[in-house]
Amino acid sequence: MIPTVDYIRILPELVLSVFGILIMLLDPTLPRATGKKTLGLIALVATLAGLAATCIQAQNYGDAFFGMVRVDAFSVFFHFVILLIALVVILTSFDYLEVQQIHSGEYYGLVLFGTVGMLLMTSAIELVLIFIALEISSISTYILAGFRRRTAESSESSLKYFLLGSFATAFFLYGVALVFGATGTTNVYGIAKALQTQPSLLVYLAVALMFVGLGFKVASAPFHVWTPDVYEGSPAPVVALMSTGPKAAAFAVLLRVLFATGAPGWFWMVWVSAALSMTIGNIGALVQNNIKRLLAYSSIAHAGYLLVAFAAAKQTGISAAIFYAASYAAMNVGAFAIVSHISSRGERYVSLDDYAGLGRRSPVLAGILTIFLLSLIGIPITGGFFAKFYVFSAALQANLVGLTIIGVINSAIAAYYYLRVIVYMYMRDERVEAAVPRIPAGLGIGLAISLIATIYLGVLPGRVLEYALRGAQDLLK
Amino acid sequence: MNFINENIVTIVTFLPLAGALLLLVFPRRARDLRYFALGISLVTLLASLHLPWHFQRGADGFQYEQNVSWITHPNIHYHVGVDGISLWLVVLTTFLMPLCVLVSWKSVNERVKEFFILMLVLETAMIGVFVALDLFLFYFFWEATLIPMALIIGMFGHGRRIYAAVKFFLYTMIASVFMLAAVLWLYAHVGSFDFLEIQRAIQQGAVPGFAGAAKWLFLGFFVAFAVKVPMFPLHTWLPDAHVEAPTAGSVLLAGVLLKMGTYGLLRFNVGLFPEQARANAGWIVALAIIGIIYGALVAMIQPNIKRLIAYTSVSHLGFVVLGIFSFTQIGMDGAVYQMLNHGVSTGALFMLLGMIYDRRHTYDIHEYGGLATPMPIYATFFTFIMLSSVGLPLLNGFVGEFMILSGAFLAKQIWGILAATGVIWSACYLLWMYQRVFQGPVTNPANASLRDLDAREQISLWPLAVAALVMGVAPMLWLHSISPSVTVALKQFEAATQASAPAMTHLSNAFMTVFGR
Amino acid sequence: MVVPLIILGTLSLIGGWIGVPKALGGADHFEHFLAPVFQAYAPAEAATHAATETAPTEDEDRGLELALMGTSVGVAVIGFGAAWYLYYKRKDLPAKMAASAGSVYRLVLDKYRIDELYGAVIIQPLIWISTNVFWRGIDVGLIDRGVDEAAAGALDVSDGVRQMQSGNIRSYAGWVTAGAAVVIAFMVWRGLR
Repeated sequence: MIPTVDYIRILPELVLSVFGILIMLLDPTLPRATGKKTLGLIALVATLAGLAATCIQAQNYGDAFFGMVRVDAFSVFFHFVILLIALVVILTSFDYLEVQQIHSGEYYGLVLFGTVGMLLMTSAIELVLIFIALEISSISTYILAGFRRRTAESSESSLKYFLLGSFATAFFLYGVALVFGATGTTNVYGIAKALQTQPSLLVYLAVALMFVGLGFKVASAPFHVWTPDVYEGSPAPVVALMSTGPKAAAFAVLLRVLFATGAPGWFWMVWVSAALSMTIGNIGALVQNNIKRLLAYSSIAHAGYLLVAFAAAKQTGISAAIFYAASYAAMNVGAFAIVSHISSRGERYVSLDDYAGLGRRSPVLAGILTIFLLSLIGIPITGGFFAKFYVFSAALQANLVGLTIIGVINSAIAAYYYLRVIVYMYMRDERVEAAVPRIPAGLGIGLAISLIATIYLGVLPGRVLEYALRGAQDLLK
Repeated sequence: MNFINENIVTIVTFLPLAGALLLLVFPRRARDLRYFALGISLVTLLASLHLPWHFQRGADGFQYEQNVSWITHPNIHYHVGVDGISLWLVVLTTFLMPLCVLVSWKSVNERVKEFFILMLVLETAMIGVFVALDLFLFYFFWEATLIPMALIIGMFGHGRRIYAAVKFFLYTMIASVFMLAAVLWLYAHVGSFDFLEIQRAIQQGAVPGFAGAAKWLFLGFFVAFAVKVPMFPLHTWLPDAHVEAPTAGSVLLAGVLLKMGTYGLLRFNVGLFPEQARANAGWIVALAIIGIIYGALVAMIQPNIKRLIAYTSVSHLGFVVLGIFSFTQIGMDGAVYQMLNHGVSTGALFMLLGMIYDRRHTYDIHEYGGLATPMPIYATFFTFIMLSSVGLPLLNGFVGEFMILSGAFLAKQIWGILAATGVIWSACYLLWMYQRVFQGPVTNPANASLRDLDAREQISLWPLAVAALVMGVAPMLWLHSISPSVTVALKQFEAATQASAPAMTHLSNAFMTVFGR
Repeated sequence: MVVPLIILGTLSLIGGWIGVPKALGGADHFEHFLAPVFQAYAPAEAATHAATETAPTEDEDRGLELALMGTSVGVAVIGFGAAWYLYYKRKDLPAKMAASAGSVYRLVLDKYRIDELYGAVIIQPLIWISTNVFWRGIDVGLIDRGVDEAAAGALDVSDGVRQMQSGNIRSYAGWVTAGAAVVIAFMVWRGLR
């Protein structure tokens, strides 16, 4: 018999699923043009309820469902991050869907289901369950990517994402199968025990395959090629979700797979992937004129920085990675929220030229975007600075001097393309006469959340870092 | 009183930031903004005067220290304090700020609010660099100066401002990430970011792996500071940044930001890595002397006045680097003093250039000529400040240059000889420029009816002129507090390298007797 | 012009009065004004003095002083006299002297053409070197161009990286497979070790 406390341990996932189903049921009953606002509000309530549920969940650490799910500091941390991401994305979507004239209520349902998948990914410790959660999150995102039905590029990006994503997930599944074959179990901590004896060749192969699958998901080189196209075509709030939520969840899974299992031989794989991601991401972004592609390449680069923390390993490296995931989520989701607002109907205004003179047209938006960009560069007072700082600090503590040097040089080079956006906003005169519409309430709240998070992580990161550290300790137990 | 004593550094550092945040909510009426910015900068100046007023001369170590744990993991503290070296640099910053506000009164008319917010944030960052005693905090403030300055240049500058702003930002940032790597390495191996702790650990040899890494750490810090100073051949960002920056931006850039580089060299390169400093002094001084001569010669033939003065900064700060790496008491005293002098005189020069730009909107020497006729007051101020920059005795430049040259001469005669030629070159380029711009008949009819300085412009110049004079005849007022701190630094340096400094007691005694009353 | 001269003249008179040298019977008040500065060197100086030479006697000193005073005053008087004669008494004489001296006169008038020589040998080359070698050659041509070329190079590499995004999904799958192949091969190699 399944004890009640087990259900509490997956309370957020349950809550969101229920609300998701509710939205799907209500969708046909509401009027087409105006009813979707209600669904959005329900989704908003769902995320808030999910946050509350996480607080309840956090009181009940432990395993659930025959050891398939584990609630510990690690998973609770990621739960909070992912739910906050979902919150901001939903807030941004209110107005976006209006402007783009997308009247499909299942949008909100899909967001919620995708979030369920991501949440489950972080607390699952059973590889098959991880795979299921991965698929739940991925499939929701595949569909969401194609939501701007009337444009070809949206459908194209959705199809690309789906085909390549399935391809990569197959690698992951194959890896899971090999691990099962080698160790006789798919429970992460069971595998850890089994690997204490000399790991066989199958395990190495399995680790490689799982890394390929997850590496695709987090957009690290050399599995990053889908990122620019998919980010460019998908609707901006969906990109906000895609670039932060599944990434954070996939990194959590990668942390479990590489470190909690005690997998062997991953170091050079991660090292090379980190160096390549940073370099390709940053260099590729230098000539981009489309802000969504620019931020896509930047995502690849940031995946690289995160992988540097992976290479550092141990508690310092893992906590640095966790902190980086949180701060990256805050600044990226905010940046894409602004992009989605400015892009206007049909996402016309996504080129850098359209951002020219934004400092004059809409000083508030320009100022907020500047702060997010500064955070992405890694300028002090922002969360991005501390995140990079911790990552490189952890790397040096693990004596990874070469990788650190590559990392800091990349940070400096990256400054150029972020600075370019700032230059366009403040130092060039506008060519487009389009007035930027007033910031709607939902977007405003969402931006406020991201902004406060970014600056909080930049000025008083101590608390959050302690949680991250506790998460790292729990992971390795 | 005790509360003030303990927190004065924090107050002085963050008062401008508080002002900037208040400005955010101000309505956009330009006049109020300017008065408010002026008020905040004056209040900060008054607050900062507390620092030298209650400074205990000759006391060891740092004063007004404040050490609060900021983050526990990693171990970062908010540790600030001043000693004789940084004390006057802080005052220089707060002193130049109100003058910059005055100078920008009429010349910045658009986006005034953003301008003053950026200036105030920049002020906080600059002061923070000088008072930070925790390496992380130092890096934090160091990076924090980049964006406001880049935005000031890029938003409020002239023709090629975007190129200059991006160049400035990327050049400095790429160089400083090497310093970041060095700082992180030190933390990883010492367990703390605290400057004093790290210094002690290095002196006691308690840093694992230090022997192999010391050279790279030294270079890491050095690159960041060398770009900032700027030292040849990493100096080419400066002329572009200066030419395109608005007047206030240039004043702060030359007056304060460049000092961050020389301060860093003294505090960190020499303070943390004395053995490497001594070992590398040869080529560093060579670069400094090349900077002195090269900077002066290139300045001489510049047709753009602002670019000319920019190159003179390269030359003058070459003197400062020379003074630091002479490792003599008198040389290093002179270097610190010359930092202050350069801030005053070059800051004033840029203000003067700004005033003429406000009238004619050009920096081209050929456009001018015979300006002394329509603008005699301006010409007088210009002469005065220019002579201070040349190093005429009775004005501040002479004191600093003399001390540096003495130190250089004591360290190695050839250094002193080569550097001394720099004095000749500086007279060359400044006097020749002065002649072409001010003397003779008015060649360009556009100059004939130029308005002389008005009250506001004169008010912004008088403090600098007076400072130049007082610093030239009574340098002991400043050297009283600077010298003991330099002695402490030098003693630590000598203890670490176990080399004896050349006997210079006679010369410095003579100097003190003449100037110190 | 006259007023400053009057002031200077009066001050000279006062200064001279105060500092009438001992040789002429006055008590020189200026002589030891700056001595304290050199006190630090005094012991050293006294030592070298005693070692190398005997101190000159008062009388020899006095004679030398009077001779020097006489010479300098004499030269001033001769100059004053010559000027009075040539430019006051016989105003026509200077022009005649100039005409008869001819080219020598012109040479002296042109200050021995040292200014032109100095300009050609030192100033012009210096300006030429500073402008063309230092400024245009090194600063703009070498250093700045290096920086700009590095930036342009980075942008070119970026363009190259961009080519990886062909838009063709099969090529993307190809990249993923290639990457996977490398990773798998590496791990298999690790596993076999």
